[in-house]
Amino acid sequence: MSEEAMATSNEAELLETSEGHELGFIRKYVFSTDHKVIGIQYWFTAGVMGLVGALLAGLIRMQLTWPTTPFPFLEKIFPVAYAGGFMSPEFYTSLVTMHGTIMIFFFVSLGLVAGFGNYLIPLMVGARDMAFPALNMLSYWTVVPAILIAGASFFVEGGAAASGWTAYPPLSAVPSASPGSGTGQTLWLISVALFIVSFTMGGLNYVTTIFNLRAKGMSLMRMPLTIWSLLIASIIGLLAFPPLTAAAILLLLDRHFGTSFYLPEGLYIAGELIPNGGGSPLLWQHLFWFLGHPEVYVLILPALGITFEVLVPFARRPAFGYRTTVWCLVAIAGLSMVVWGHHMFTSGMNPLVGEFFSIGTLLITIPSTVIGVNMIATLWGGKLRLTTAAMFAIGTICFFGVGGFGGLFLGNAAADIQLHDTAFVVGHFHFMIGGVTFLGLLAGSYYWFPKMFGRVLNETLGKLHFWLTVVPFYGVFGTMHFYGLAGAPRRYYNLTQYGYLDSVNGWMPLVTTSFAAAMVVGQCFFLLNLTKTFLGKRNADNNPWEATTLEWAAASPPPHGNWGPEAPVVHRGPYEYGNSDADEDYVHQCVPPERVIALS
Amino acid sequence: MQDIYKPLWRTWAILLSLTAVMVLVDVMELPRQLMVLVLLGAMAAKVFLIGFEFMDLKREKWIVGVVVTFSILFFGAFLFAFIVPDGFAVLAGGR
Amino acid sequence: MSSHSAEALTSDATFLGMSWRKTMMWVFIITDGLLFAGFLASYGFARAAAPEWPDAHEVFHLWFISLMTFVLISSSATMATAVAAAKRGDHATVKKMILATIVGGTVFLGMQAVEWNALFAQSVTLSSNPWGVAAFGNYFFTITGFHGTHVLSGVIILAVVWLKARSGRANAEGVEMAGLYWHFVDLVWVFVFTLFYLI
Repeated sequence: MSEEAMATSNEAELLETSEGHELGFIRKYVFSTDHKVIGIQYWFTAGVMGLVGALLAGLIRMQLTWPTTPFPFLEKIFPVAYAGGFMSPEFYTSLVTMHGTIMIFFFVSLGLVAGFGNYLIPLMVGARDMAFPALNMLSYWTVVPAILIAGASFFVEGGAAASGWTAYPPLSAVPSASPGSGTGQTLWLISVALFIVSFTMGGLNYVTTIFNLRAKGMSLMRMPLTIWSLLIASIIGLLAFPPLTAAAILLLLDRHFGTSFYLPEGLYIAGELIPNGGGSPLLWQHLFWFLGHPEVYVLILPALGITFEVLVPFARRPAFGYRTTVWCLVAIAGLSMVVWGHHMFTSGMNPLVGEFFSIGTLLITIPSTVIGVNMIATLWGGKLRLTTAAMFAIGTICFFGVGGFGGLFLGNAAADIQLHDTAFVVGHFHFMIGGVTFLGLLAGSYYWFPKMFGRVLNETLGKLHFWLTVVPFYGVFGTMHFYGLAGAPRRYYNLTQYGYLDSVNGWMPLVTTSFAAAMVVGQCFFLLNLTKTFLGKRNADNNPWEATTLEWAAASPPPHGNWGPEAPVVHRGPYEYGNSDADEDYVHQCVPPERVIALS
Repeated sequence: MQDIYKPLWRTWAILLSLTAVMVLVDVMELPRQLMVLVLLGAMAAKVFLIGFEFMDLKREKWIVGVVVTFSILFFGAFLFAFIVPDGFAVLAGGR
Repeated sequence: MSSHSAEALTSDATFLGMSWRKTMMWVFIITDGLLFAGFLASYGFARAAAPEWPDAHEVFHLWFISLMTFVLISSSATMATAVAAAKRGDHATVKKMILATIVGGTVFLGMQAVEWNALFAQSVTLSSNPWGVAAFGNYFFTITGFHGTHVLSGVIILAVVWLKARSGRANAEGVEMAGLYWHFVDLVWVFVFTLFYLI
């Protein structure tokens, strides 16, 4: 069958189902191949995992704030981990590991890249579905077991993996190294492997869809910035994950088949000399961070793209420097692939190599700053409409700035050797990979909620949510910067025993935890808002924000096959606002040029 | 063999001769650095031939060749360039 | 069915100038290539870090490995011929050449089994070997094993394509995609052959 015929039959099926042949509940909402349903499935899954990750963070905060106070009620829930009312150190390291893993892989990745990616790519490029809908469904149903396995690892003997989300050997390579290094670590590896498989399937789909399934007239330089950022993010993800897969395979062999890829000679574990030798844990660090650093950008770039997407319709101005932004995204992506060594300055790296990685890292600040300035310049002189979505987008700019400043210290080898593995690092990366992505996710959620569910979220509750997210966020992670400068190391379960921290231990952890509690209250307003809106009636028309990109030409929510019988044709760039020729201040991408002239 | 298949089998012959050269260089007692250089050169030539002749990169748009070469070879080379020196450092006892 | 709706799916806007399935195949090859790049870079690291390394001339029978290389390169040539034949609709040649490729791949796998057995007989295993250089066995069996599984999956894919071709259901693009994968497997062998057996 020729490709044309193939596409047409696919098309026919899509049209048929959109014209009344109703699918059963299971085909429609559970094992669906519709990109919109899959996107929403990812979005909800990410939300649930975000709550789980936050719960783990809560336990971490309680331990760091009151390390010497017993919690008898927690002993009732976790009899082993809280024996005697005190958290065991092993449980603490498991918590840190799983909090990181869940938040990075199963909250931010799923919400931003998988959730919005699946939902938006076909809608914004004018396709009816992804290039490979079945592969898309498979990708979601590969992540579900990954999540279940990660969750199950808490209940196996020895508890969940405890070697950090970075899984450094030998802690992760020798099953007897710590309680969490046993079954828990194996399950962790399986879970991450499944995630990589799922991400690869999703990435293949994204790249192919964006390259080959764009609507007529949708040239690359007419694509919305969200699509650009998702395209670039999936490309760097596809390039960076395979070496980690290789590394994970080597680690599994080390754990179960007696090899010594990461194990040096003369290593004593639990008082016994292990028989392996000839490898080096340094190899894992290299391969891990070859993924680990680009992964940060896999998550941040879509957040930046979404920020632009949300800012523009509420500033009623075109995105400032569209082309520059695209090329800066490409530059950031390229540079991000070659600076992984800045996570390894304290590994005893050759200073010359360290200098190279320092310079590369500092070079990233240039395109990043250009993007930040473009965002602010988009707002300049605009007729601002301060909706909740717009406020979250502005919050993203702020976090991007603060996180970037912290990055200047950490990217510099000389300063990093002092700050490495302190709470300063924790504060920094929570602003970037935690804050920018979280606010980007929320901005996108408020912005596209009408499209996804046909209902507009409540603005009053939304604004409460905004203020109770952003202000406490500064309180939590800003304080952590100073705690780190005072010398507090990360991943330690009890810091009261270090005399030099006495002057700050009394209040800094307490301040952090109080702000964290306020943030929890803020998220309750979001949950309340969601419940209230879902219970309410449909109140969104097709284009509630008067925006110009393609998805707003579809119904809210769009039907199966997205467009009805007539597929859209694109006539202009994505952000045409402030056009005085038209009778409105914006011209949608689908409006043909004749009509614009006729209107004027 | 028909005409359109001929270039393919010419490529096959070149690939085999390159392999023969590599084996020969390996058996001869050349200085090690020279041998490694010749081997890597022949390897690169083989990779190029397979990519452009067999995998039809010469018939695709040029951008495909650029994308493939850049993503595999550039980042692969980069991995090598920054991981292998640390191996030497481990040998020297730096860590 | 209306013609304008088909346009949306097969738009003129293909950046790479190839069909979506071929695009996906190429992207997959890139990711798979970087997987091997990760393995081979690790191997380079281990070689650099090892104080000594077994002499390839003593461990391997070079003529036998050269024969394996000959088989694999020839199978790549037959595959390329099959792809060219499929493009011009020469179905008889397609069937013949795919079969030849399958035979080549199977022979290669058999020879690899013979080679591994010979090494096991010298008590060279994944985790240990007589020279006391654990990394040698670690990397050798991991990387050639991984390449071998790729050959195996290639043979399975080709068998499917061959069965389709026999019943006249194979299309040129399917043959081409299988071909791309097969050449990629050959390409990886070029690296393994050079970096493991010669250098």
